[in-house]
Amino acid sequence: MKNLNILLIASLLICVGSCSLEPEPTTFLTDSNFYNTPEEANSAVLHSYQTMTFLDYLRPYMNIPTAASEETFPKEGEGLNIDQFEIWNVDDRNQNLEQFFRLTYIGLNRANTVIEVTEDVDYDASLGARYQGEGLFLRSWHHFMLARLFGSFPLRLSAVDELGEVRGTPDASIEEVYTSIIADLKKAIDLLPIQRDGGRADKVAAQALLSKVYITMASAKETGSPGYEWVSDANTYYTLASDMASEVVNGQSEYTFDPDLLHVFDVSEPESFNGPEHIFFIPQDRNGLVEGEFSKLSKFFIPANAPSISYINDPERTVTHGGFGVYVSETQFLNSFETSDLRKTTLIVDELLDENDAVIWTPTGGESRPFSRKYIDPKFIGDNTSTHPYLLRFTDILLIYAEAQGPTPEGYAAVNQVRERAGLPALSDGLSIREFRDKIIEERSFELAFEGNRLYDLRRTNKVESVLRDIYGKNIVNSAYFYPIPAIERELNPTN
Amino acid sequence: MNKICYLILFASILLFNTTVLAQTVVTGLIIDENGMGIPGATILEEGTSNGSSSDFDGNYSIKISSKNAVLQYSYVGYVTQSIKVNNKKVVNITLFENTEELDQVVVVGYQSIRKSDLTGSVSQLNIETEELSEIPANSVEELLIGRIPGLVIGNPSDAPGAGLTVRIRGASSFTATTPLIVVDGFPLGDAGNLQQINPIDIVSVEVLKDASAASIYGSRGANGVILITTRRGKEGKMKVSFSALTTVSTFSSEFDSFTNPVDLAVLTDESRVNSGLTPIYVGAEDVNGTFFPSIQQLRAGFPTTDYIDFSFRNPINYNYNVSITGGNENTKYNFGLNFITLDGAVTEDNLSKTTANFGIDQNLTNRLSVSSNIVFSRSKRNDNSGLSFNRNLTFPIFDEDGNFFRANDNDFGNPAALTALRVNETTSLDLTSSSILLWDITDELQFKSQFNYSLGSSFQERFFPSEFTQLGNEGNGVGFNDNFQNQRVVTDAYFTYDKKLGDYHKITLLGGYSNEYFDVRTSQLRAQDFVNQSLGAGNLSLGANQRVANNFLTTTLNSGISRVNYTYANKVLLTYTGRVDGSSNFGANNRWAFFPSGAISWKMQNEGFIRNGLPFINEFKPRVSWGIVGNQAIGPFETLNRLGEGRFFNNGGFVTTVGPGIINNNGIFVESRGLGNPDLKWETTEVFNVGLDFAAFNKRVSFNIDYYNKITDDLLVDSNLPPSSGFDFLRINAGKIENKGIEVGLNMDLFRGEDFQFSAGIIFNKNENKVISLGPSEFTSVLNDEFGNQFRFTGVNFRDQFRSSINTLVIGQPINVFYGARVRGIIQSEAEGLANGLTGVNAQAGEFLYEDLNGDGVVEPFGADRTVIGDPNPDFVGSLSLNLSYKRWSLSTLFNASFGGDAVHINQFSTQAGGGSTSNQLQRWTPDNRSNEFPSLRETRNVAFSDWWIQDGSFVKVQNLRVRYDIDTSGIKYLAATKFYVNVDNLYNFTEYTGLDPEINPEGIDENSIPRLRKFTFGVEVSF
Repeated sequence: MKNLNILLIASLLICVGSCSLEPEPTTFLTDSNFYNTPEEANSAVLHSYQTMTFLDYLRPYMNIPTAASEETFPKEGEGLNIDQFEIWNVDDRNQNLEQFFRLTYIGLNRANTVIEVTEDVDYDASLGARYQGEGLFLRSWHHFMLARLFGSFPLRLSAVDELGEVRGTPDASIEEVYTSIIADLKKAIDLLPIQRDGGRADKVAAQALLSKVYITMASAKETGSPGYEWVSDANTYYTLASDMASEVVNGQSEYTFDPDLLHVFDVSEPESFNGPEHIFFIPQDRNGLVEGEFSKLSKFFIPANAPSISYINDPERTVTHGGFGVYVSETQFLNSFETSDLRKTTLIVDELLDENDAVIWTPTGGESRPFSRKYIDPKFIGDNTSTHPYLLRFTDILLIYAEAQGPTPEGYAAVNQVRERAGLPALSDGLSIREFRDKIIEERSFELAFEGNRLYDLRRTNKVESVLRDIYGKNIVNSAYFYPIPAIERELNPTN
Repeated sequence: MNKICYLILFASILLFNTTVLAQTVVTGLIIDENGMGIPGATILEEGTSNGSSSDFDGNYSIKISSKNAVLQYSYVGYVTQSIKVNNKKVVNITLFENTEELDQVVVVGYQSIRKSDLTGSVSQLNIETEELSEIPANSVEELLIGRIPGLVIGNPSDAPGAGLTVRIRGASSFTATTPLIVVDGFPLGDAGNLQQINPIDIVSVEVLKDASAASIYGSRGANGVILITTRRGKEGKMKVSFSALTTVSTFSSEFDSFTNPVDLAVLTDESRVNSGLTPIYVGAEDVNGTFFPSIQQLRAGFPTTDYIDFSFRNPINYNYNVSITGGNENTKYNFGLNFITLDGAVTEDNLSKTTANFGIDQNLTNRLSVSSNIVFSRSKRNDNSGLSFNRNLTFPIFDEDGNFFRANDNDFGNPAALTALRVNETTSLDLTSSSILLWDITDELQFKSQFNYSLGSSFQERFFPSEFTQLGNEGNGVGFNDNFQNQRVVTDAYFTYDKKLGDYHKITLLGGYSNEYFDVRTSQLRAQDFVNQSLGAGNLSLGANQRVANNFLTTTLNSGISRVNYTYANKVLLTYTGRVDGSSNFGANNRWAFFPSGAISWKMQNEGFIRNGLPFINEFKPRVSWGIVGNQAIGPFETLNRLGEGRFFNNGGFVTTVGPGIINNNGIFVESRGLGNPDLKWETTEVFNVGLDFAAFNKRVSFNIDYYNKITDDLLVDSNLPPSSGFDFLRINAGKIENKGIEVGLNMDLFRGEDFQFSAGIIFNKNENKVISLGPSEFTSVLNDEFGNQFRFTGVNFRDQFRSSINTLVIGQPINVFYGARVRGIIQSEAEGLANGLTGVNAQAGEFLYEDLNGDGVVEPFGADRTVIGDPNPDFVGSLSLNLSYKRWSLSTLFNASFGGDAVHINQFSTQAGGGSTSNQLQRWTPDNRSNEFPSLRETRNVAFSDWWIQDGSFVKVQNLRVRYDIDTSGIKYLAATKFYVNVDNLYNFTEYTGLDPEINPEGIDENSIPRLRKFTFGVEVSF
């Protein structure tokens, strides 16, 4: 009986130990116990970059400008969400726009978090400054992308960490947006060192981006592009753009012009895709486990009827896998290249060889057309590659420098350097400033083809109709200069 | 013989006449336990025909033939007694209620009470529990379909191990609508897929429906509670029983997909040409490198493959069962062993399970007893589901070289290759155990402590080879080992006190506490880029690239429980029930909540005016109850700002990144969560219930009727956040929903003869659901349309086909109503289309004629011209069960019905060939067939969700039909009982619905393209 009493008491007490109701996070870190060390802050900075590796960011990043410009049309059956850009009839339920908008704000929230937690650090202040500069850079990158796509939108300048902050942010005017971007980038330039680090942004990246911001404002004002009427004076901003691009072109030596055209797009080794040209990019690696960590971008350009293994007819006999052929090159665009342009003869593939150098693929027409080889990874594993979008490349800024300079000796030198690498003669002398700048925009369309750039050049120079409609015969139904803000934002944040 | 009869008759008449003076009269009073007179009781003198009955106050008088006569006193519901007169003139007697047979004991949570003493709304199975095991089922819940008033169970899938949707009294939450399931006092979690219990072991099933019944489970009672009691050993000789069932399944309807390749080719090309694309069935490779034969080649007899025949089979399943029970006065035991296969209709889609259970009850002293129960089950699943049975039938299984055929480099759909090469095996182990200590401290005071532990674990091995699977191709072979483990520890300790106070008052008190701890651990090992794939996922270190992931969550619930039952004179019953719950899932401000309830009932049959005036009534008990129950359906830590992790390639290697936003991929896009809401609190449901329990004619007719009104406030919802916040969802309390309805359970013994019996049971449930509020609009993104609807998309069931969600929450409407455009028919000419406000390709002949609902001249089927167009919630559901027996044969059938719910027939049509119902596509609009029913085929059509896709989903289903034969074993030594039976499940469906089966999920969306199974079972049961 005594034993039984012990049993009784034991059964009464059995729970008492485990009764605490205070939730102790077992698998989540919470914002109250993080960001305290430089390592933690660094992981938060990388987390901000990481947003851009989500497919919902990467796909629209390429889909929107690639389909909307004259470079490609989407393969049949890829769906309304990409076709709408090709036919220039875009609605506010477009999933490419919606996903890009959403992911951009996820990135903004992460960048704002970085900015806030690095404001006042009790570790090495130079590290704190660098992280904060990267946060500011990313915030302006995201705001600039939104500005070029949508014009006016809710500006996010602080992290959302309370319920009360999720709604009620009104749209900022384009002017407010640009003012904020410029302020952020100036501060970032002050804080950031020049330090190449596998695609992370540094001082040069911030300068490069700021030069793009200035040239956008200057050219939009000069050409009367809709939405930029508020810019005070085009020439002031051309000068600012020129000065800032000059910092990149002449003011540093970490990033340089890569004389080897093929090497620019070589992603076979981390060193090569970190090559001299690449100021800022989204690093992806074929050893990643989920798409985003690795990339299938190559397959979007390689036509679907290309062999599953073949070789490009270049000195290296670069090997490649097959493709999906989502982005089909527009023949008229390919024909607009000069015939001797190396950017056409070497960067556009129109035949594939087998291991014995026999031609096993040529374009068969329809959706089987020559394709860009800017995204080829000879070390592909299955579908997985290290190809990735090039966000800021030295040549882009070199051409901005030329455009901002106008037909000055410096301007000619810059553009001719690019033309020379492409095997083209120097630009003829004596062009007017307008002719010169139009030539630069044209040069950019060849140099930066298939890199997600052309749409924004057309928009900022008020050429959407004059090029896409008048030359390429597209019917611009709507959204020529700005796309509609996604309906989901309007419905859920009805402040505007 | 006749003469003798006459003689006796004559003699008795004489005797009667002559003994008038010699007769003895006995008088007396018949009372019940509470001293109340019993009117209408029957008094008989044994061995004679003398009889009498008691009057209004229970007084009687009877003339008897002998002073030593034996009088028999009987009354329905009471134990019959016989008493020798022994010369007495007055015989008073107390009759005791028969608690064993007519008045069952009902489990109500932490307590059992007599059924007649129920005050709350509790319903029970209307079928003998032994019969449950004669029906093949994936889970226990499947057996309860149509069997319990108020318990509405949907069975939307035949897949092995698939769960069911279980609801009691409608959906009282936007997120969690599933009742709690409690087995032998152990709360196991949400109902829907109870696999641990072998149906043959079930002794009783009770469903707690109103607040008075369910509030003892407090924060988990809002959706009702299902209580299951399993078999225990009994004192007596050892009883061994054995049963075996074999089930053969066949499809109950035909597939509606292409069987003729010419149809496929013609329709595909027509759809493409209508979209301005070129035909592909031209005898050449298309841009992807897929060869499509020309229509001429197909007409000439191109070889085709029957992928349906390849992908499916008629599975044969087995169920074997052994159980042993027995014991003596102090020790009782039960043992069970079950082996079952639940193989699916898809080739090699298999599941098998072995369950062993053991229970022991031991008296330690005459006041102290312990009992223990342990159930162990192991299952093995080979998942081969999802084969593309509607693959293009011009594709062969093997190519010319005998390898698995691939249409092009990106074709990963060959079902033969997937069946042969893909690996997806899961082994699960489950352990459930309870230990109970029962201490009768005094005759009135009892202490009970129950310790419950369950462990669920599974191990899943998956391998995707680099050829023939998409994932494997990406990663050069991808393998996974997934581990899952959960533990639940529930400890209860409580006292009950039972006391009679004087003659009229009886009180029962219950008080104690309960503590529940729950945790889940998962871990995943993943590897890819395999140097050699022959071992599959057996050796993941052969993959060059490896990664681990894990997760661990815990929840604690602390509770105090209390109940008071008070009975006055066995007539009026009062119950108070209350539970205090504290949950670690909630923030400090709202961690604790109290859930009280009260109920009153009146046993009017014990009142004289019914006893005397309406003596055929056995039970007439009105009940009223009110109370509050809760719902804590959120995950842990949602009150905190949580950070997410990612991986990023930086300088030659992947590094882990941490920051705001927990990103999940929903299969279409990624979603961001993680913003904490420190104000989260419980959903509270206030329930009012009125009911009547009625029985008459020796309980041959009985019914229970209940009316209820449930209002649930502070609904936990996933608030959609604007994208500009950087988050997509946040859990908040917002909204209010009402459910009111009527439930009737009617049982009738229509004929009760010696050889022939016939009984029927009817269940009728009508629930009206209404969204009252969606919460403060600034947090819940409530939209307004031009038709006065205030609504919000539910966020689930986004359909790519329509580029929108289908289900919405609309204030004033039932939950999950459909929102979309209206279609008036098919446009017959472009002029008609333009005249009706359509433009461009949408105005062409053969397109949907959408209605301009707001009359603004512009048709916007994706925008303003949308409104509420359908309601998936049925008007009422019900069942009819019929049981017929003749001698040793019995026949029973169950009809299950649902009326008035709308169903979205997703596969009704597809604007491109392949996918969707082929028979409908063949009736498409063409210039030669100006259909007003089906549109033309046009591959690039942007289809808006409309009422065109909605049909009435009413049905009456012959759920099952059983014939049983019980063998007479009386002459056979050692054999106690033997029965044989044949059961047919899903025998026939009476419905106007044109899809495969209208029994679908509660959201009313039917995506099924595989017909439902009809199951034929043959069974035998022997006991010794």
